[in-house]
Amino acid sequence: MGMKKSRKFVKGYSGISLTSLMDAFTIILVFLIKNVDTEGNLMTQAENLRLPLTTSQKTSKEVALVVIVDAKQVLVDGSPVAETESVAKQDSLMIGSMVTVMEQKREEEKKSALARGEDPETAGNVIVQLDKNLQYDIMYKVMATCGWSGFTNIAFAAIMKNAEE
Amino acid sequence: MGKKFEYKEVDLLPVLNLMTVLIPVLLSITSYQKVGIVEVNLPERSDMVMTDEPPEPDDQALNLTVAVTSDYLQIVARGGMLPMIFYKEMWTFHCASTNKAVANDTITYEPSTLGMLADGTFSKKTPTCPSGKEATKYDIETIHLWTLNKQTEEDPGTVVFSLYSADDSAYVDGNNEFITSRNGIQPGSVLATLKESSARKINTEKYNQMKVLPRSAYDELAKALIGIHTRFIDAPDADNIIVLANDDTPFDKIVGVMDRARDAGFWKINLAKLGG
Repeated sequence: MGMKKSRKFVKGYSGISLTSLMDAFTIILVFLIKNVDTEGNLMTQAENLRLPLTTSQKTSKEVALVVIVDAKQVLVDGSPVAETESVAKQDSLMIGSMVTVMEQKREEEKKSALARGEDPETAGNVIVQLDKNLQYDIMYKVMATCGWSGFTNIAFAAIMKNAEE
Repeated sequence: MGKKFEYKEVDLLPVLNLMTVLIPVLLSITSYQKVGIVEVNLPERSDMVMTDEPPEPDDQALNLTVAVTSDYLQIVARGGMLPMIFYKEMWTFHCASTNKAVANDTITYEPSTLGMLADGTFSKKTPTCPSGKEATKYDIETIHLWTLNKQTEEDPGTVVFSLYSADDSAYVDGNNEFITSRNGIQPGSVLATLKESSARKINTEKYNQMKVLPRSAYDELAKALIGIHTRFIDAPDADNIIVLANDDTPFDKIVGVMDRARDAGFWKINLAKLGG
C-alpha cells in the first residue's frame, strides 16, 4: 500500500538536487569550525573607540576589571567616572573621581579573594581599552591612577595583527 | 548471485537541517578580530613614594631607554646615546565612506600641514575625505613614520627607502643591513626579515609582490634593539626597557614602540614621561 502511495507521489515530480547545496554548506561549516575560538573571548572591544594594532599574541586569561577610555569619557566597569577632556586638562597625575571608584573595586576584589580562600593582597588585574589616537598624557594618568588604587597588573587592549588561529 | 539491489538516494534533509542551525550559531560566535593585550610593568604602590636616597648605580646594568618625540626616536643605553632615528610623520585618515563610487577611502596628510591643536581640532587645514566628510583626530587609521636621512635637527633630510614584502616586513641582507632596491635580487635569492630565523629563498610570487617603500622608523628601531639585546644578553637588566614619550604622543605610537621592544627581547616594559 505504502509503495503504491509513494509511486504516485514521485510520478512527474523531479526533486531538487541537494548535493551541491550540501557541498557548499560543508565548506562553510569547515571554515567556521576552523575559525571558532575555543578558548573563548573574555574581552570584547568597546564601542566608540579604535584599538591599536599589536604584534603581541597574548590574550587575557583571567577576568579583569575593564577601564575604557574613549574620546568623551573614562568608564570603570561600564560606569562613567570622568570626562576625557577634563582628564587631559588636569595637572595632577591622579584622576580624583576614578581613584574613589577604583579603590572601592579593589576592596570588593580583596573580599571576594578572601571568600575564595586566596591571598587578598595579590595585585589587582586591570585591562585598559584606550582609543589609539588619545595622547600619552591621558594614558599615563589612567595608568598611574590604576596603580595607586592597587591595580598594578595593567594591560592595554589591542587588536592582534596576523592573529594565528 | 543474481540478486537485484534497488538504488535508493540518501535522505539529506536532516543533515541539511542540522547545518542550517549550526552555521548561524557558528557565525554568531566566530570572531574575526582577536583582542589581545600589551602588558606594562608598573611599580608597586610602596615604590611610588619617593625616597631621599637614590638607588646605587650599577655599572653592569644596561639601563636601556627609548625616547619618543614628534621628530625622532632616541636610544640610550649605559649612559651613551645612539644616533637619533629621524622621521617624517604621515597620518592616514579612514573615511568610512558608504559611497561605493569613492574607491579610495583613505586620505594621507603630513601633520605639519594640518596644525593639530591640543583639543584635537585643526588650525591650518581640516582633513577632508573624497566624499566631503571632514575627518577628526579620532579618524586617524595609521601613523606612518618615514625614516629620514639627516644629520642635525635643522637639516630637512631625505626619505630613505627599503624593500618590503607583501606583509610589510623589511628585507635585510646577510649583514643585517636593509635592502634598498630590487637591484641584484631575483627569484631564488635568499633574503631575511628582522624576525628571527626568517631567511628564506624568494619564490617568483614573493618576488613579484616585493615593493620599495619609505623605510619605517619602527624597523630602524627594531634593528637597533635586536643588536643591543644580542650584544648585552648577559646584563642583569637585559630584559628591561623604559619608554619615554612626550605628553602629546598618540597611544598608537607608544604601542608601536612597545611591540618592537618586546619582539627584540625586552619584555619588561616601563613607561615614563619625557622632560619630567
